[in-house]
Amino acid sequence: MLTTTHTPGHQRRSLISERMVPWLFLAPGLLVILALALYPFLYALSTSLHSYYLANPAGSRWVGFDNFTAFFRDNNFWDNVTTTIRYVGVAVGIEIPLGFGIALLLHTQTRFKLVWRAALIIPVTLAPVVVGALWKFMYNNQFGIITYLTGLVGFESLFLGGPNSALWSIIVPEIWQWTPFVTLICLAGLATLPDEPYEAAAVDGASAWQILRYITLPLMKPFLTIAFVLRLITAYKVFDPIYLMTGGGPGISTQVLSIRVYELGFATLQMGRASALALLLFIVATLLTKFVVLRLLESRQDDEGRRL
Amino acid sequence: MIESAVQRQAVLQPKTVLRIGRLSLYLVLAAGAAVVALPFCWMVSTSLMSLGETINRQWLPGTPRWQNYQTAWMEARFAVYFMNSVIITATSLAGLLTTSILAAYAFARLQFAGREIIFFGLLSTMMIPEAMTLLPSFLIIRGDVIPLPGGSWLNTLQGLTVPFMASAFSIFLLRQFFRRLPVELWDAACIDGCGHLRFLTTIVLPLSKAPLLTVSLFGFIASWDSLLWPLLVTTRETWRPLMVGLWSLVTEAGAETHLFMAGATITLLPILVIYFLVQRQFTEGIMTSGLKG
Repeated sequence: MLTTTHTPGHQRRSLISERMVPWLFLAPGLLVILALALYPFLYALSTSLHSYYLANPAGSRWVGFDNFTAFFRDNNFWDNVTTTIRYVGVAVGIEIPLGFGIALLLHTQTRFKLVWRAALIIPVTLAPVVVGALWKFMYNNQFGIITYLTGLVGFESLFLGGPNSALWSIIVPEIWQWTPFVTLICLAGLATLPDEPYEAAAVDGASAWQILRYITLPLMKPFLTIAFVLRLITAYKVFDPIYLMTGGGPGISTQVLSIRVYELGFATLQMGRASALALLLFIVATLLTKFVVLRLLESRQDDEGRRL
Repeated sequence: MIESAVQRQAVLQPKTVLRIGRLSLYLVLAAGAAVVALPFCWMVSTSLMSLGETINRQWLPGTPRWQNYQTAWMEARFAVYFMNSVIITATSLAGLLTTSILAAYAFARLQFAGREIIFFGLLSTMMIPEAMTLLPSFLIIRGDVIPLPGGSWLNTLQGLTVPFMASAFSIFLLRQFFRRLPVELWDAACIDGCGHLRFLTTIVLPLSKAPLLTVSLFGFIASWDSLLWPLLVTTRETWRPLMVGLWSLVTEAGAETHLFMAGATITLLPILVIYFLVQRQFTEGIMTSGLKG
């Protein structure tokens, strides 16, 4: 990859200062991230090995890995895992192709550009509080417009209130809010594609499908990868909108793992168990980063040539 | 330029097929735009209703009640909170850009021991669930863990801004961009005897308008829209931001939906204004920058 190491064209600087440069550049950012990520990590590591109640920190005692092993005997936990996988899988699985599709359609549009862009950017910029309150209100059984509209076509559902429908009902706002984000990334990507392959394809009489499959998709891969990685990470960590719409209920039907961490730590005050679960989440996420994200990111470097 | 390619490709098809295709394309787009815009339009519409109308399943208010905005503004104490939010977000953003640009440049361009490991560690921090960092971060900002300059940072500007001054995501995004810049730029700068900092500020940054704007937009949203953190670290009004005021419309005033929607619309406006101011550069930046090809 980045094999070309350049020595600066001037030899005025001493070697030491040259070696210090990267660390000076990294210091401000890493300092903040270390304080607000590394310390919480160590804190979680320590509390996860203790029976630690937030209301009674002094009564904390060492319990080894009990907080971790408890989850494997906990049916609630496995439900949380399934809910999380469903939430992330369905949301990201729809957002990426849908967002890319919309970008392909919009890309050729020159009229009403400002209107499209406004429609796309608004969901992305809305605060979680607003999204949660807005959708909760739209789903309301008595005066929500969604229940009204679905009632018109004869579809009855409890939406957020139903144990079977709640999960799907919280996935819809997620898709509504983040598909435009994927579209915006794809639009930015489409605008950078070179002309030549398309000219060649037109000369060869390639079909629209062939052009999409063999030219657009490969060229768009870096952008789709970034969109996928970002969506995966945020969907996996999702907290605010679910917390505001259902709080994990009814029952535990929308209790994704991050909601469970919060519930354990701040509702039942079992900080030890909450930390253990947070660490489990983190370990899985790190493995995902290592084996999926990094691999995806590396694969695009092969055809990159000589870069900085 | 792509338009021209697509038009060229369209010439190959019979005209009627093209017209039907274009018509259905417009229909699909219009339907999609309606679905996306509906919740937002409804939010604005509700913000102009009376309380009675909000629970009456009405699409539009009888007579638009613009005074809702004034009431929301007063009830949520936006007069104080708005300025607070502006200062908090501007400070966070300035810090965020400085730390991210420097770190991203180091990861993209400089050689140092452990670069890949540190970068991987950094990426991993994006994966840490917020529920896990909330309490320990609070302890840090309160000054319980390490002594902070000026003692506890509760109810201070730095308590509200410093946690937003660095983000693995921003570093990641900028690094992806910086490393795609052609190496010839550096070679050319080297001949002129340019150091890293000067190379970064005079050559790299002007070429990086698009990713910088993207990072700024996300940084702005992260700080402007945050609620949980300001709720935790402010016990007095002095530095409370907009979202805390908006939140009070949900919790304190009961179910005054119309006021909440008015408040929500107010908090959204600055982001939209900024987006439309920069969006031209946003696209132009990407087109003219080194990201292409």
